[in-house]
Amino acid sequence: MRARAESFGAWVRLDEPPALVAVDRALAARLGVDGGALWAGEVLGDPVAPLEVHVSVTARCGAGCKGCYLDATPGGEQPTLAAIKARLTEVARAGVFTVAIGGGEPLLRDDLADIAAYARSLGLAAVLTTSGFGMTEERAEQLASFAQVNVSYDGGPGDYDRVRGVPGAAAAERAIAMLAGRGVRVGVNVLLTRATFEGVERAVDRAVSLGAREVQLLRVKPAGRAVGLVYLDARLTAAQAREVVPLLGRLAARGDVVVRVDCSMLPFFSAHELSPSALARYGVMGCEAGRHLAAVTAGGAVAGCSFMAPSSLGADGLRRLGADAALAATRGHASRAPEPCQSCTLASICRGGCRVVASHLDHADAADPECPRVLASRSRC
Amino acid sequence: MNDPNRRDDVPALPPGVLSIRPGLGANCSSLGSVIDIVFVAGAVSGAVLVALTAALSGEGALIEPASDGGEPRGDEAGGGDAGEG
Repeated sequence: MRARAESFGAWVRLDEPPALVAVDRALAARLGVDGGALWAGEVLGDPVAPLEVHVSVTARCGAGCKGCYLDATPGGEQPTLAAIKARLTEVARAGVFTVAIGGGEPLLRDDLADIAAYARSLGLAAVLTTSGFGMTEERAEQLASFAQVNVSYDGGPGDYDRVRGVPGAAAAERAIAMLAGRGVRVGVNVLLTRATFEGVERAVDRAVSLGAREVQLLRVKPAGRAVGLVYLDARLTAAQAREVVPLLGRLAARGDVVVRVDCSMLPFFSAHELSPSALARYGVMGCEAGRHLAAVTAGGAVAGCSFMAPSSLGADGLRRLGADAALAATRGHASRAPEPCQSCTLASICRGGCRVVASHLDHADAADPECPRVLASRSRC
Repeated sequence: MNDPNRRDDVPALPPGVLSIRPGLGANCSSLGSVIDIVFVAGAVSGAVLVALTAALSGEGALIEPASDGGEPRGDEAGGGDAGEG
């Protein structure tokens, strides 16, 4: 087991089944964790470093998806393997547990197996996200060195094309099947858009039939090419946002696939009476940008998440994210969140909703304007 | 209001355990959380709780520090209650 001391005790990573566990000081001490100065005082609010860091290994991609959050292009920046290794070394030194490798399109690199092996040698759990473009049996074999590979899959040809503006469903489906056939643990990322929301369960059916073991549902965020009218056209309607929780219930009831939600989905939970204690007990997290989550761009800068602007810090700053003014402001938003967030039973988990959405549609400290609770509150004003 | 999606009967955690995040964070763009347990009691927790109880039951379990990042800082203000689940 790996562990990292925190002021509340420690985070401990179980390898099988994989899980991160937060334990109190007494149990952490019994497990041999030395809390040092962290345990001398009262429990603090912020973690010492992220639990998970996203590392972009290329900003190149030739797919040209209309909603690419990175605005990736064929000529995008691509760091050397040495630079990526140096960043991964800093990620590990900070005490991060999981590194999510992404792009652009990571398959444009031919050294992904080296990257995975290096991350593993540092004690990091390495996972990869790909569109599947460029996947071959040989590449699938190489990707077995990742703990999991997620394929972006927004449904069959009709839905996929509507979301991305490019035909890629066949490539994604082929990649899912190739990876699963090679024994790679494979999941799919499904973007929830207003045009394809009704087809999500069909997409999950298809992905599971191809061998996917996990589905992660993603909210559209306004970043990269997905800003302005593109974003407004793609985001869920208010009625669809209220249907997200029932959708999750139906997917969870299947029992044949693990269901995950991304950090920006928590506001949608406010339309229902979910148990905050259950969400907290099972580690469901809302906007953790710059706290439990950070990203390292292809250029090497740290950002609060993959959708946020780069900060002034490099990867060696992952244990002092509060030193950057913008990151500090993001980290502190939950304590300043306006009503109706402050009185929301999910406030400590949701943390005020997605800062990228709020910043794009309103301002950085605004309530998430797509949250059903926020919409209801504003309609009463 | 009785919301059919609400479950309060999710399994309790072992003593000293504040929260569990099952699975791997397998996405390059956003922080993911396994949500099954909130809807289907036992769907995620069974194997994790068994492994957790076994792993945490012994004195001095083998722990490898996850960081050599130097002195942890405690000087950053901020809200939230992360990890105290």
